[in-house]
Amino acid sequence: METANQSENQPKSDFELRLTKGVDLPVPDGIASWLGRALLLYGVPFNYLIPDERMLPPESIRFFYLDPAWVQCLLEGAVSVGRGTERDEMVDQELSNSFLTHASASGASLRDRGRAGSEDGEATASEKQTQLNWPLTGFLMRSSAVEGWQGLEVIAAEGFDARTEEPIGILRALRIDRLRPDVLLCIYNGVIKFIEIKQPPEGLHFGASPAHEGGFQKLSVRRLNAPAGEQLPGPDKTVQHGDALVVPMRPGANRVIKVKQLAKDLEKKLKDMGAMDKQGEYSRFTSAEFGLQMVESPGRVRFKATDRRRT
Amino acid sequence: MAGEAELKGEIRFFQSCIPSLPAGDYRIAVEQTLQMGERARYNEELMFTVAGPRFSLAPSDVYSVYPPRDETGAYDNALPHIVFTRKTIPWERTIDGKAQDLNAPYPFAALLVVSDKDDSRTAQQREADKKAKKPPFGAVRSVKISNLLDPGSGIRGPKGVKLNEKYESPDDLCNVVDLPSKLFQAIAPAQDDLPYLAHVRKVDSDNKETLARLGDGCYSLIVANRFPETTVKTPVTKVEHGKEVPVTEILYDGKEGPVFEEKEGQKNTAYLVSLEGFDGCLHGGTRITEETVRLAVLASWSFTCRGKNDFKVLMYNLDPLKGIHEESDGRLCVPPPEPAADDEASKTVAAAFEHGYVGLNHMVRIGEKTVSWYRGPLVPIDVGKPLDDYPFYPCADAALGYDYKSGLFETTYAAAWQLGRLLALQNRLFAREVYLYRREVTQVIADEIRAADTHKKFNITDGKSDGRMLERHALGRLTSDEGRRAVGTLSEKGSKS
Repeated sequence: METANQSENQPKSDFELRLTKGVDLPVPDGIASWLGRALLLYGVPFNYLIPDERMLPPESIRFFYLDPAWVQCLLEGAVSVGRGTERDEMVDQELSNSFLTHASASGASLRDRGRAGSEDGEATASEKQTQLNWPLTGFLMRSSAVEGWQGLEVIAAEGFDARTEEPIGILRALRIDRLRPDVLLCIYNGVIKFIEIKQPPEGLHFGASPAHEGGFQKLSVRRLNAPAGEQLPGPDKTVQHGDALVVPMRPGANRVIKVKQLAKDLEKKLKDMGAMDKQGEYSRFTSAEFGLQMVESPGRVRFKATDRRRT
Repeated sequence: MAGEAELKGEIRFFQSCIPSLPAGDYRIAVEQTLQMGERARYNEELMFTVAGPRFSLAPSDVYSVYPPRDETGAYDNALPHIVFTRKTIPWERTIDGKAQDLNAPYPFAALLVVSDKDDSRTAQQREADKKAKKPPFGAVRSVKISNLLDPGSGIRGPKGVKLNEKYESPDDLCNVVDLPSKLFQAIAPAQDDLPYLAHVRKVDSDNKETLARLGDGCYSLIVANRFPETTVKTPVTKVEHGKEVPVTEILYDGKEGPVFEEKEGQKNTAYLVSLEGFDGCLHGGTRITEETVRLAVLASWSFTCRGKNDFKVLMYNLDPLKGIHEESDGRLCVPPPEPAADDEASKTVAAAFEHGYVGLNHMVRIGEKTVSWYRGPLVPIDVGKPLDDYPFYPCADAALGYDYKSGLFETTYAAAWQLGRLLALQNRLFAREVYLYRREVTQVIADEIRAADTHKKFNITDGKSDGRMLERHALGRLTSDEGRRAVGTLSEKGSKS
């Protein structure tokens, strides 16, 4: 309790004045990284994010802005633990911005933390300088594709070239996580105008086209020597009847492929077409070459998002 | 094709990734001889065992499967496969127990695709098997390993498999499936097929979910050698000008395609089975004399072939996306009630929904029940301010809003504040760190105040921490208006004293 004498020496305004003065104590890393995660809504229960199921019905995608005031309240609530006196409150008020700054810095680089091969000091330093570029936006996708195609690739951009249909200004992903097996949450550092969702390449399947006479055929092969990867439908680059490679099937057993025979056939076709080296280091047709020939092209969908500025 | 260009540089295929130490028992021995003084020899030995999956795989070893588990779609032209999180899994063991051939490494497991059409028993046999309490066709059961290795007469299990007592016991459980030997030898890969049925892919994980991003982007796969069974698709026809023509429909990609009638989907099951102990009696090998084979199932899943569903169709059918040429309005909010009522209350509700609010039951402190507005952190509109442009709330109730017009509370920010506090309390380490940090800061501030008072009292103007130093220090650090005002007062005071 302050006596009259003391309050003369130290008026209340003076006390406050000094409390508003900045303090040189850095925010500990543990606090900053926890706040960074909270800023990106880690740990926030699903019901707080999507309070009504009608907002995100099955097989839907929804775009959003991240509400900075909400995040700020969340963080302020978090750092309020253990606050006792009025003085603590003033300290917190003073620290509030410092907490937010550190949370932002930590949140911006969160996705790179603990990543394999991220020990590279230089890359980490440049990543740390990433600033949060409000307003942050993102999208939620609820689909059986999220569950069925583990490892979906999502790219968001702030623009889109109408002529080339290519994205302009790829946005940095701050968070890509599954909230539920079939719900994907993506938050980006900027305003999304365009998104692209790609089938995961590690899960691309082996496929063949049905042949008219029943059975299966490969309509095209991929070049294995330079220029590598180019798709070659046939000797003169168009699919001719008879050009296609018939997938050899095991007689009797339904729908079973003669795998070794198919590999040999593919190798022969490629070498005949000059799309694979006949000698040297790359003349062996292994499971890797077989895989490259057999995978189907990845599915990819691109969408424009409406500009939803304040209405 | 645009898809091909994307392919470039995004996937790399590797023949195999053989673990540097095959499964087995190892001994490390170290010996050191000291040359100085009394010659002495020290040695140390260490035994260790490299385990490999033989009878079961951990669920976390499986990254994904295709066709997706329990999904229905157009999978009849695809070979099922299984992707592993560890790049060495297919080669961690060998089917004959010998070392891997480095030039043509053999995976030790194969993916078998079976449907109930493969069940060639007659109705009578089925009835008899049912009475004899044999497991249903293709059923995966959990049995003791001893039951797999020594399955009894008429059943062929893996032969010549010796358990490693260090980590395997005959009483451990594993999953098995019983298949007719004839079927197994008809659909299993030939020994020469095996090397082509497994490979490793390396992909760029930059645009994947955070969890997948932490790995090295290397995945191993085992592919099946059999296309899934499908039902007969009959094209739907109609009679036009006296002729029968196929009925067509516009597909998602704008192309026209025939309409098929499918009565029922065809369920298929894929089994990843260990082939260890089946050396020489795969397809084309020695005929198995026993009627049934019992195989260790490392993983299995089912899917159904029906309709046109696949990745692209799922994507194009997402609500409300309509493809790249139309902008989609997929706001994250509750759709306003239809048809829109014209009264004031309905308008308020519709407007609130449009701004992302929902009405939730709210029990206020005094026990009264009401409905209050709440909005999550993900909002359909740009609220437009940077992060630090909001007032400081000392407690949750300070952030509670009240709309006098409707008499409703707005709980959004109060809920966020309270949640933050609860999350912080949930993490004891964080809560403690915050508490300690605040105490430290308070201490520093108190020290500075004491120092400043002391300086004032004794009118010290030189030295490191004199009043003016403090003032400058403050000036440099304070940027907010409030701060500038405060510094102003401080300078006035300083000049007076």
